[in-house]
Amino acid sequence: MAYIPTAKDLLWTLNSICQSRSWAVPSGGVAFIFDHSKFEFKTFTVAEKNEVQMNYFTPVITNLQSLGYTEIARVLCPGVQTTVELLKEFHGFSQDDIERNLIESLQKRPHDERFDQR
Amino acid sequence: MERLADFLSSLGVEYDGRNFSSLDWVENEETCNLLHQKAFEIIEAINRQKEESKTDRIGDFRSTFALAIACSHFLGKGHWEIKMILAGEAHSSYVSNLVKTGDIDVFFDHQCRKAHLDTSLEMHYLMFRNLIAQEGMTGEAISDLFMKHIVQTSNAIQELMRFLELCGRQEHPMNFASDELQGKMAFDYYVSLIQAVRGFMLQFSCVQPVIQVEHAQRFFEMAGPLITNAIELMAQFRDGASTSYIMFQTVMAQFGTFFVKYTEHEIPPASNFDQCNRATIAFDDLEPIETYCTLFAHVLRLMLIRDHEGLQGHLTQAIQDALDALEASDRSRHYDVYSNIIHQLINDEEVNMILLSDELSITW
Repeated sequence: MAYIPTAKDLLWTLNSICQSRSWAVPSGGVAFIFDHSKFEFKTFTVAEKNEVQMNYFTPVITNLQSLGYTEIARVLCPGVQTTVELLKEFHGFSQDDIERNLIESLQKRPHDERFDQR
Repeated sequence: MERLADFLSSLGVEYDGRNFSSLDWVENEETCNLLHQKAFEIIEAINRQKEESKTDRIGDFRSTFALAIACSHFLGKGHWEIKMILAGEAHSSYVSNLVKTGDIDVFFDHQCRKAHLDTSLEMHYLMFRNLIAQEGMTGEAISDLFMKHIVQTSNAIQELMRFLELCGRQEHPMNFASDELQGKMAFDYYVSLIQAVRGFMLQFSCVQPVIQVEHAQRFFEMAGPLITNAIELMAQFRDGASTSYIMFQTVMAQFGTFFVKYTEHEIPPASNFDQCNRATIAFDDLEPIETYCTLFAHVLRLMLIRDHEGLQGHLTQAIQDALDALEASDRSRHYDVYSNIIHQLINDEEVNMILLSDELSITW
């Protein structure tokens, strides 16, 4: 059965991405770079995703497409296994950058009670 | 095999994703039979695929959706199954295709979602009504069943609210192909939400004589905040169009009269009467379909006067206003129901709340 995003999924995703140009989803092994004016995004993803990453990756992409965003490039990043490694190796993030972004993202993240238990 | 789009076109069924260019074909019995037959063929094909665990999807999801909506036009109330199956399949196919090809059509996506929610509301109500119509159903059992029913209804109302919020947002919107399509989609959700809230209150009035006190209390604990939140949201998305304004003022009037009637809320009758006036007589030069939108508020206004001695002085004028509205109204949709109820109220006859709920709680 195909995953069909709910209203909550779409609202949460839109609220998550609308504030910034980039969005990393560690659980999906992926980072996105957006051009919001054109409703476009580029995908940077770990080349060999494990099952958990795959389970998150596909719905996240579907959510973005359902919001009307077009994926204009997908870069499979070899030699990395996590989003943190991906950001360091392919986007030049330092450990400090990553920690700062993580804190900012936790502060800005829209609330969704479905994630409270995690 | 003939393409579905060509088949529909050959019968004069032209759908632009929201409306049919004409509804003349509904009057043609042979056309309706052919559409019905085609719908069954597609449903059988879907079932076969499911039995064989194939994941192939129907190819032309737009035409399948058009067929679903066409069938709902001529089958009418009580026949929700075809629309539910075909519109659901069209939507699943759209999402599958979106994932595979990236071919985006946010407007189509949401027309499917709205159709699903509207049909779910209809389905839940009809199933509830069919169950309580069974012989031997006690008041207690009806009351229990109603509580289950309203959970489903309130879930659908919350989903409609989220979609209205999502489609109507101006800052960081979704990618509709144009502002016009975004506006149309937000308006469609707005109307569905108003209809769902109207139905929610009408359905309670229908079962109120048999509902248990603790169930009624639970209903109002749930319905009060839900309806208030829905009205606050609608207020944000109410545009300048007459239909949008009339529907909003009507749901406000219904909310006021409903809570005063069934709870200990103290809103002066004159205040509710003013609200009914805002939804009925505050307009000049309405189009027939806009006048049609005022008919429900005329019903509320007459009921309010009947229930409150202090408003009796307005009765003659309210009767005249209601009759004028009936005269000027479009005669489609539930016109006959409104006409019957208004005349029952004028003749001081008892209004059948079950009939009111059955006829007016699903479509406006």
